[in-house]
Amino acid sequence: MKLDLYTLTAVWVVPFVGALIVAAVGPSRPQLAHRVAILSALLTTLVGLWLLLAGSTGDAFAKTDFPAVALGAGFHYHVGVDGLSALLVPLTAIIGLSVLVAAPRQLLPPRLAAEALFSVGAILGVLISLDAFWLTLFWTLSLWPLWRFAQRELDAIGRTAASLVFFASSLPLWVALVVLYFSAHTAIAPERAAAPFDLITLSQTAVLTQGRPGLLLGGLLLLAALVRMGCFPLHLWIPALGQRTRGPLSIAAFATPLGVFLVARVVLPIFPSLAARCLPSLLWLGVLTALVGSVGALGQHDLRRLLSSFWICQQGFLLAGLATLTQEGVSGALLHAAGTVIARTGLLLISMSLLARVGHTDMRKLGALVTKAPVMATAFLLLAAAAIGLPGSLCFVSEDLIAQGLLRTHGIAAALLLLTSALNGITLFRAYQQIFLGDRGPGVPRAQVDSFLDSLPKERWISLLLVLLLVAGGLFAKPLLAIRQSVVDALHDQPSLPTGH
Amino acid sequence: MIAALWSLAQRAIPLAPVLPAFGALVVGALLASSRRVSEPLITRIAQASLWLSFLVQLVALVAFLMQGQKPLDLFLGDFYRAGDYGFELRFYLDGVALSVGPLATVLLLATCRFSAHYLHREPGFSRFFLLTLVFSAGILLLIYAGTFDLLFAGWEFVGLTSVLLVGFFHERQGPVAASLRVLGTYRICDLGLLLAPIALHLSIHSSSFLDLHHALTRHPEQVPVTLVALLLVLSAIGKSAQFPVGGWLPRAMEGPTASSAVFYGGLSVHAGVYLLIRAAPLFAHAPIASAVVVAIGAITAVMAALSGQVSADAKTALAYATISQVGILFIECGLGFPRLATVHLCAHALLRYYQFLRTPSALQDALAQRAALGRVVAERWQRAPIGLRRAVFRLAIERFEVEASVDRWLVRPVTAVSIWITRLEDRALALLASAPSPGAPSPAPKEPTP
Repeated sequence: MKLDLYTLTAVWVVPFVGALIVAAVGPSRPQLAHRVAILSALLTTLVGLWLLLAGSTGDAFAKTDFPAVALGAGFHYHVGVDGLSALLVPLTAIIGLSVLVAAPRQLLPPRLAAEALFSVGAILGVLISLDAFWLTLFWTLSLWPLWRFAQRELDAIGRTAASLVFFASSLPLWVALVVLYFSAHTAIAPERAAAPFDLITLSQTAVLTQGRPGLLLGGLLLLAALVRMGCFPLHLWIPALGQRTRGPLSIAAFATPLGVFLVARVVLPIFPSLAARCLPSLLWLGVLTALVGSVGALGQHDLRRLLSSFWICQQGFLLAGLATLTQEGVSGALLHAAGTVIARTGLLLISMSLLARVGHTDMRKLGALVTKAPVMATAFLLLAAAAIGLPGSLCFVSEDLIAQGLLRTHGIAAALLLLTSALNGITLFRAYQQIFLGDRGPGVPRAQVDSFLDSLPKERWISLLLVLLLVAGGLFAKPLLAIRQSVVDALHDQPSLPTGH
Repeated sequence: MIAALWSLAQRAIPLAPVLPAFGALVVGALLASSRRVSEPLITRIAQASLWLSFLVQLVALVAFLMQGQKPLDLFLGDFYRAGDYGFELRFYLDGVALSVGPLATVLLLATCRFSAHYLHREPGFSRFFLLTLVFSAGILLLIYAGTFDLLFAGWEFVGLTSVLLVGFFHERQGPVAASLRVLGTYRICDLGLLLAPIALHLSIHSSSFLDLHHALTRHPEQVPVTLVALLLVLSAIGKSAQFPVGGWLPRAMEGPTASSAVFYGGLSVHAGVYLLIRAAPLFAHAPIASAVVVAIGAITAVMAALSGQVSADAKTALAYATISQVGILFIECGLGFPRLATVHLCAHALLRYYQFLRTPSALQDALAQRAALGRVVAERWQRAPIGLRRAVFRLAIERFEVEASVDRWLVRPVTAVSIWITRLEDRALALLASAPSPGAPSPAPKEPTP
């Protein structure tokens, strides 16, 4: 099997075109628009799976399969798939497909479906970009629909939160682009004038990646990544939007932990001097973020906000694991990026089902739903168990590896991180109990429980798919770890980076 | 002949936990198929998988006895590996495992037999059997594990199924709240069993019992014995309901009688003791940790014995009696008598299992006994001064304030911090948006109508 540039490009073009068609036909023919959206997502998934099977995952940060295509004025189109993105591409496509199939129709009008599809396409574009310009463009476009939605439909806090993430995570990248462009066209790095944004050649240019220029450029990229991840104290936008936006769009916009991806793709390999300075701080920032997320989630009564806090906690896990720069920690973090996204998507889809059926996700006003919705309750329980790392699930492997990597150098950090995992277990199980078990909540009409509908077949299939992905990933973790091994080796073996600092 | 039997046992013993897991998978698939599944079919699947598992263990036991009782460390390969660390699939067969394993399976088989009638036409009949099979797989994995990593995997399944069975009667608020309490205790205490193997991997590059034993024999200075032992104690006190986290066990009696018997009379509550027995060589090198184990066991034994005497209902009194006896098992482990603890564990598991199963009829027995013997007075306290009797009674009835203290000093502060974080986030966002700060999380402004 051999990849070609067209197939690689199709992974973002197909959802973009699909989004355009859905937006065009949606107002007049919503049913057709919905079908087109699902078909586009399905095609994207197939392309993503093809990339995983056909792409070589052996080379990391040195992709030479497809040379950059010159577009004029110093702009190039340079894409590729390596061990870092090979798994995330089909996974993102599957998440997009799951959302479009399983999200309740009343929460997913054609316009929102088009926006969700557009976000997924842009995220896929980020994942395959090997050029800073395209990466920045796709990065910005992936947040554009959410920002537009917030300006259109949310209150002042929602709008502020959307603006915060949109501008604070995109502007630093654009500033970095400008710096790159001018440095290439001045005496700083004239040898880069032909391809000023190419990431692979940038990694070989010491003048821009070391010293003060390196600190400036790398710092901008790191800032963008930390905002996108929602690291403390830049996490405020996550609970605000998580509680306010309709699920489909928020899942699509944050379907992949792009912040961690940016750190692993660009910051660590290309700016080693910055990374060497920042890694210890990043490790503790990750632990602090995880603590804030898990303790914050403990007292929540709204399921969507609870899941937002849980997501913040998981970002802390990822950052801490990556910042260890040990084989175990980096492997665990990259694996956790996949596992936590799957589990969170499943839980968010269930929260959307609840929202569509009862009009809110306040757990105090729910309860006793297991009698009417046993399948939904079971799916929630299984996804929650997988999310907190029950043995046999993907998150168990990843959390174990992160803890192993962390304990080598930072015993207290490892203990704190595992404490957050324990708290997450209590939080999610409490949510399960409040929603599905016990009595009806105070003031909840009996009719709400009696008329509650269990998962529809499409919701069941998607829940089953996500649970199977988590279990299969947990039971057969070796091949997944092998896919990422080249990236792990490349990061771990960098001479200028302090391994297990 | 002996060699062939031993070879067969080596190949078959990994099936001991796999067979109930497979049974659980079949029951789960049948339930998920949305077809009506008959009770006899569920019972047969559960019993068949447990009988097969028992047969496998019996073969292993016979072979073990015939080949001279030499322990076997069975390495099947790595589950996954990254860098220097690998999660090994390693089983360990010795006298302890082959005493406790078959006993556990017999108790589980008896539970299935009992529950087929006891839970007949209960709405959660299939769920009970599904959870019992998952529990069986977990406890057998825990018993036959050759590494602390694998033991932890079984430990987690035992914990999860315990929690779900405590909340079995989920339409009532009491069992649901009790199961959350159990989960909270388990999750926090399990941190010890998560961290201890990692510490072992760092120091001796393995968490296998055999490697630990070798390391302690040859290079004891390489092993952080006190740290690892104390971490294991943390996990053991959680699972075995010891001071100061033992309050969950009396609450766990909300589950069906059969699950109370097998979990909190027979098996689950002894998992902590089994862990200490497995780690006996470690405790032999860790006097501080051993002293802690003895102290915890002694405090628990006294407090639980007194609390049990003032309990109003039979099941709660039995729960406290179990905690008290497990405290004595802890003392035995702490004093370095793992073999005695193993024998005591087996005997206690059998006795309590029987007592828990008979609890519903125990009151009738007590009334009959009283009718035959006349009024029974707790004479042992009659000679004590009245002030002491009152003080002890008050402490016992308030369960020595242990649970209230945990709530006051741990649960409430953490909850308060959580609420504080939420408010802080809301205020910060409101400040950024120049909007009025919401007092509590508010719903989205434009929600769809149901």
